[in-house]
Amino acid sequence: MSLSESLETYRCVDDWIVVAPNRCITVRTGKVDIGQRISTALALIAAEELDVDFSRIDVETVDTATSLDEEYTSASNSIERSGNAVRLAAATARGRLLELASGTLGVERSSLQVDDGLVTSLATNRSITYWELMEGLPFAVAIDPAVPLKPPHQYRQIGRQVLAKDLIELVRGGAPFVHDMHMPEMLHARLVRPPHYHARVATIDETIYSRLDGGYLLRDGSFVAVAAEDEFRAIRLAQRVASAIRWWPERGLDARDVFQRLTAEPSVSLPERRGGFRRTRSTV
Amino acid sequence: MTSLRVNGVSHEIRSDASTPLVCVLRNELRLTGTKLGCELEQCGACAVLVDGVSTLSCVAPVGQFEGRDIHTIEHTDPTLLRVCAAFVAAGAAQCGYCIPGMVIALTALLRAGAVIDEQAIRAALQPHLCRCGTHMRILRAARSLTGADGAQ
Repeated sequence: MSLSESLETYRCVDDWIVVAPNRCITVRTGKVDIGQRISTALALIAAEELDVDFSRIDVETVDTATSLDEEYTSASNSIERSGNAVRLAAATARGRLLELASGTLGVERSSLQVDDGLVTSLATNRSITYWELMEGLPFAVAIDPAVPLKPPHQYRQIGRQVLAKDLIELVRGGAPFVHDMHMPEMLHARLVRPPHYHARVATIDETIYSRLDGGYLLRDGSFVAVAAEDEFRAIRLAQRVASAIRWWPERGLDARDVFQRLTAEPSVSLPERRGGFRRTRSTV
Repeated sequence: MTSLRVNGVSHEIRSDASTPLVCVLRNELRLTGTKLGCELEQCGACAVLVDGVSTLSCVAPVGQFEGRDIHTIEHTDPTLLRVCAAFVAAGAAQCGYCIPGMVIALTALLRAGAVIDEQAIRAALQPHLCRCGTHMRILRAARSLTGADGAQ
C-alpha cells in the first residue's frame, strides 16, 4: 500500500493515536465531521485495529490551530486519506503495545490476546491494560506502512450497528454549531443579498451611512453586509440597507418562464449507464 | 421589560420587547438548541412549544410571549425525550441543524393526543425543511412513535 498524502506529512503514531489517561483513546484527524459521520467511521476503524471498544474512542474535534492539516474535507476522500492513516497508525500502535506487554509480563508476544484494551497472556493468565502500559507517555514510533492489518473476516466492530458519535447531542440541540458560539465583543452580521445572481449595486442612498444606529456597513463592490452587537439590530439594519440600494439589472429570470428558459438553454446529452461501474485498478 | 417563562424558569428579559423570541432564547438566555435559519418563518428550525403548541419563533416579538409557557429543545419533558430517542434510534440526523425544530413539532403532535397517522405526521412536519435529505429517516423516527411503522 502506498502512503497516503496524510501519512507522508504525519508519520508518527502519536500524530493520530493518543492513549488518553481516562481509559479512552483519542483519534486525531484533519477531516471535519459535518454530518457525514466521518468521526464515527474513524472511531470504528481505530477501535477495530486496536481491539478497543468503540465507546472508548474519542475523535478530536478539528481545530485549525492544533489539528492535522489534511486540506479540505471534500471529494469523498476522508476514508481514503484519514481512514487509511488511522488504520495503519492504530495497527502500529497495537503492535507497539503488545511489544511493551510482552516485556512487562515476561511472556511471548504470540501468547497475548487483547480484549477492549486489556492485554492477557494465555500462557500465564496475567494481564495489563493499554493505559497501564502507556502511563500517558507517547509512542514515539513511526507508522509502519507494512504493518499487518486485521483481516476483515476477524472484524468484530466494523459492520455492527453503533451509536453515531455526537448524535444524541445533535438531536437534543446540544452540539454547538458555529452560529451558537459566543465570543467577547462579538458582532452579528447579515449579508444584504442581491435580488439575483447577476445584479450589481447601481446606487446606494448615501444617507444610509448616517442611519446605521451604531452598526457597521461593509461594502466591497456589490458585496454588501452589515454587522451589529445585537443580532436583531443586524437583521433590521440589513433590511434598512437593502431598501437603500438600487440593483441593476433589477430583474433576473422570470419565474413564470423558468422551465421554458431551462429547456431552451444549449445542452449536452450523456448516455445513462445502469448497473454501476466495473471495478477498475487505479493507475497512479 | 418582558418576563418570560422558559422550561419552567422565569426570566426578566433585557432585550427590547420587539426582539424575535428566538434571538432572546439564543443570545440572552444562551439556549442555543433552538436554531435560527431563514428568519422568515419558512424553514421550521426555530420551532418551540408555546403552551404545548409548536410555534415558530424567528419573527414573533418576545413581548407576545409574556405569561406563556415556553418549552425549548433543552426541556426534559418525557414526551420530548421520547421523540429524541426515536430520532437517535432511527439515525435521523445528518448535519442536525433542522432536527430540534422537527422534534418540537412531533412532541406537540404527541402531546395533543389526537390519532397519529401518516397524514398527521406529514402535516406536522410540513413546515420543516431539511436540506441534507434526511426525510425518510425522520419519517421512520416519527412512525416509530405511533406504532404506525408496521414492523416495529
